[in-house]
Amino acid sequence: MSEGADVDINEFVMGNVKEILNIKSDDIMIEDNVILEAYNFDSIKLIQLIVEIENHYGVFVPDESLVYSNLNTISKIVSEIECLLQES
Amino acid sequence: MGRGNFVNYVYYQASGEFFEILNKRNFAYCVIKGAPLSYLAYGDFEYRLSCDIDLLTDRKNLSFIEKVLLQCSFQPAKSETDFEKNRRNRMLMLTKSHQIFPFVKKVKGIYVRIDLNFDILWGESDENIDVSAFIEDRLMMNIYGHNIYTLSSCKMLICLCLHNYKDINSLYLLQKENPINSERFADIYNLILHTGDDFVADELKKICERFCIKQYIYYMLYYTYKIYNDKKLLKLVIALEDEQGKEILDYYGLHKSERKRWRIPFEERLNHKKIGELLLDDYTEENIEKLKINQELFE
Repeated sequence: MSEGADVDINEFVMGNVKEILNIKSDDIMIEDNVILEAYNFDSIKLIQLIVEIENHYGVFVPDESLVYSNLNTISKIVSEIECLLQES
Repeated sequence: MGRGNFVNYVYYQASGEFFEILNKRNFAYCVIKGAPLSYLAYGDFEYRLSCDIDLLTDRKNLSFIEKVLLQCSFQPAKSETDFEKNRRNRMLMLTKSHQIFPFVKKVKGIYVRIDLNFDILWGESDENIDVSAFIEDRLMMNIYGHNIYTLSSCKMLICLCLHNYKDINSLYLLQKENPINSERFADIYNLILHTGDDFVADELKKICERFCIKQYIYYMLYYTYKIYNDKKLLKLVIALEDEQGKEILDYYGLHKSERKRWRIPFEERLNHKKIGELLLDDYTEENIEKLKINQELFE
């Protein structure tokens, strides 16, 4: 398992989403299953997030998962990382 | 001799080994458009001018196909020295497009290019096609001595219509050379004409409904009929009549969020030399931003 795996994945993803959207933690709470589209989290921002995730956890999101509709909620992204970490 | 002047011949000679490996592994791929379409529509591999070989496969197969291409001396057409930039570009293609960067090999002064398509719909479409299901009944065609998988005339027509719909509705391509040209409609018409009685409207309708693409095929057949006014086309237009298809006839733009009503009648926009200039006033800031991303990625 890679170095970053001990960090709470949900917390890591949420933190990065807030950073990319420039949202301060006390401004708004992003719920676990929020649809990222509602925050104008388009595919460019999604890519920024996936790059952060890949660098942090040392994993590669496979081609078949890189579909916007597969990764448009926090919970889908977290679940994808969990699967990748289990496989690695 | 057709108009292709043997370019297609060079393409297939240069990629014969590549297809042989895929066939030996029983790998699910199909060549769409290009030489097979030229043959199905005009009875001649060389008639249509092609600038590449378009390969369609499921996105889960892309990595393997890329390895085989490298093994056969093809190289990625666009590659950054910076690993992270490469990775970002690939993600961009996978999330916002229907293809990844092509592979090329220079043979006898000709760049043989293979495009890797993983969808027949466009990147930002709300729907995705199950490519494995779409190509499950693929057919073998012998092209210049090489056995290569391609599609039936019916499915080739679907690919051609979707490809042309994408091009003539793309805000990005409408700013380049006018994609609304007679040749696109001629290919559709000739494919239908040359397929003869095998073209069953019911089969076409069934496939379109299965893959939820009827509106786009209706759109292309409607305008092809408008040009050629042929009974055979009318039969297909009637069979594929579709409310959503009718709704989009007067609009351009691929995603519903960017659709705009045409201010220019079809007869005028067909082959218009400066279509982009006429449309630019309709583009929003967001549209312009998207054009810049496309330029960076594709040019």
